[in-house]
Amino acid sequence: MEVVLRGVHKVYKTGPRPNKVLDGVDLVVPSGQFVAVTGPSGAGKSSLLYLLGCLDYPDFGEIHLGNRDVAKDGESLREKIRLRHIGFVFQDFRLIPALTVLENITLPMQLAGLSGAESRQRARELLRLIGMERERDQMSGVLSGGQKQKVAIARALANLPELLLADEPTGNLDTASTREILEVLQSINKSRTLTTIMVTHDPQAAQFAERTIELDRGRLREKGHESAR
Amino acid sequence: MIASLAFRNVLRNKERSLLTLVGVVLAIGSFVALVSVAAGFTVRVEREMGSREVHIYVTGSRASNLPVSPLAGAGSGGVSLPRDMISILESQELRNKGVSMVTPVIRSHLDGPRSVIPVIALPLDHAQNVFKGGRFSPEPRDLKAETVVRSGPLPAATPEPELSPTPEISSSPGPTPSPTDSPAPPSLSQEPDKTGPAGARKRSDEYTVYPAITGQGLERDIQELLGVTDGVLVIEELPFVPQAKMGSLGFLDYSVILPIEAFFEQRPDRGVHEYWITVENEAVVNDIQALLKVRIEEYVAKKEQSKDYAGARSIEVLTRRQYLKSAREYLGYGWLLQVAVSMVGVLIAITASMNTMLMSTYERLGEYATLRAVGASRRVISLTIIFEAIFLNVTGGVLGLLFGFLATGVLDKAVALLLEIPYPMAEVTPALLLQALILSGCVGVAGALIPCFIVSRIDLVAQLRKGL
Ligand SMILES: Nc1ncnc2c1ncn2[C@@H]1O[C@H](COP(=O)(O)OP(=O)(O)OP(=O)(O)O)[C@@H](O)[C@H]1O
Ligand SMILES: [Mg+2]
Repeated sequence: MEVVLRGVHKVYKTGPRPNKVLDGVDLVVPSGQFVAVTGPSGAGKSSLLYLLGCLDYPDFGEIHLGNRDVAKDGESLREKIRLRHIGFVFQDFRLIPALTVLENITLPMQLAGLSGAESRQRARELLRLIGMERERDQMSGVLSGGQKQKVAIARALANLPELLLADEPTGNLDTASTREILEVLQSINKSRTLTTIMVTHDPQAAQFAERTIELDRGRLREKGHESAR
Repeated sequence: MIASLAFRNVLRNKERSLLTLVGVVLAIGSFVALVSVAAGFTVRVEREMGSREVHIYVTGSRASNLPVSPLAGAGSGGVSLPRDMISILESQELRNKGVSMVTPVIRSHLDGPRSVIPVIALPLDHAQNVFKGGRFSPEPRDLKAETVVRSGPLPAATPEPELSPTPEISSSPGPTPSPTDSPAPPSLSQEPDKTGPAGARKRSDEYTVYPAITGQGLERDIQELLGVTDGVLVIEELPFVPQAKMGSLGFLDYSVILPIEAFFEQRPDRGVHEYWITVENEAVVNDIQALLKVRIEEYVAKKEQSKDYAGARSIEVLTRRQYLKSAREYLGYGWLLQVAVSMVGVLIAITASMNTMLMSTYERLGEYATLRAVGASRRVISLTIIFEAIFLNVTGGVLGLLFGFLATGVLDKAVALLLEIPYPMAEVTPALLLQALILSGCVGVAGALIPCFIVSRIDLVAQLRKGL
């Protein structure tokens, strides 16, 4: 899925002074590209990702996912877009602790109306992909951080999205797990036509992407293609 | 999926769920217990009325119109109808219209060894006609009226100075209906004066008692009370009393049916509480009712003129349906009161449930935000919350039903003890069970509404930034 941002502005007005976080962001990400977004803390990287993920509205500007300007869509439609077209991975994993590993992965599929058998079948494939078939029936709360993040990635991929958004997916992980997660993300990006946008403040992590852009003072700056391949 | 998530959410905070459960159990339990008493009463009134072969009731208008003893006597005590009124009721004119039987009825009670035994007194040979479908053993007509002699108090007579006691009244035949007679009612119009004026009447410890008819459970009590060893007519089955209950606790709407003559003999001045009128053809009930009203009015007017009238001033003539309706109205107030009382409990349960759901919801706002982020709609999340509340509350409802059943039994016993009534009154009807279940479901939904509202309005991004 191609992602196009045009003149996106975002101002937080809740503080004592209005906080202008995004000040006319323009960006084109071709379908299937793996992009890393870096920048100093508080630059607005998460804010950008929430806008892309249809979790928040810009103050103005256009956000095209595929051919749709989702900035103009209502919440009910955006719920469907989130469910079927976007996968979101968080720094703090955000699995549902009351559910098992398998159930966490099948949850979005069942929300999308897949049958139990179908969704379990697909979940097993995803578990194989992340190498966690053995932990299938464990409660998600007992997993290690790296394992949780892998499950979270599998959950994000459940409905075969065209856009994967990851907000510092390795921020809470040690070096070994970080490497593992990034490799998973990279291989998924390569094996599917999956546009991937990953926020990270770790330059090493950014190496895994095909392209790195930097967010600074509300604007995006191209850091060129520093592909690790 | 939603259901199983909801179910697991219930189990996530077991202590809290348990406490809410207790609240719901108590609320639904008390609802069942309280309402079942009222419901039981209504059911029994209807069952009994429906099974009587009586089409028109003549009562004093202050009477409470409750056909089921023991409360049946309540309110009707002072309102009596003169005995000689029967001559009006079974006049040739009315017979021609279709009146086939007039049954004078007295409601009273005996102080039994264990509890108060409600008594209905009527001409014995009417019993089988009035309680159609009842089974008696032996048949009333096989009994000889004078078989039993007994000493001791029957229904409390008005305290009268004891004069010279007559040692032997036992052989006095009294206004005995000969059981072998035609089923025509005994003529009661030849009033009391043969024993003289009321004040001059002798009080005696011995008098003739006619065969008592009792339910199986009360047979022993009655025998003990009346000293009757044989000649007791046992009603084995009445159409409106389930067979299973006949033996237990002496459950019988009319535990004791005594021949009205026994009462009259003891209290010659006594009137009756009701006249039950049976007609040949139900189609003419309204015509007969109208005619009865006119004739009774004339009768009372005439009596009042000659200043010897001591009966009820205003007399009601009700068809079966009207009687039932007024009984229902009467019971309705009790029902309303009980529902109101139990609703307080239900409101408390709603509050408790709401509190639980609210706490759980606030705890899980981050989780709900995650669900929204992975694509769950607001509707799905509301459903999860509602399911969770319904799980909790319907479980509580089912347990509450069980608890209510037990409480009903206890309540029955308490009522029986306090009022000295041998009746289990509560009736847990299927409708009541359904109501209780629906009620608990509603408690759940009501408790989930505010949490749903809160969750549908959460600031997604703020929750996601907060972390878990
Ligand atoms: N609701 C809000 N009200 C006011 N200011 C906000 C709000 N949310 C975020 N901000 C501010 O917006 C700015 C951008 O936040 P954002 O989380 O997007 O930064 P970031 O680049 O992701 O930072 P980090 O690398 O630390 O995650 C920050 O200065 C933050 O304080
Ligand atoms: Mg951030």
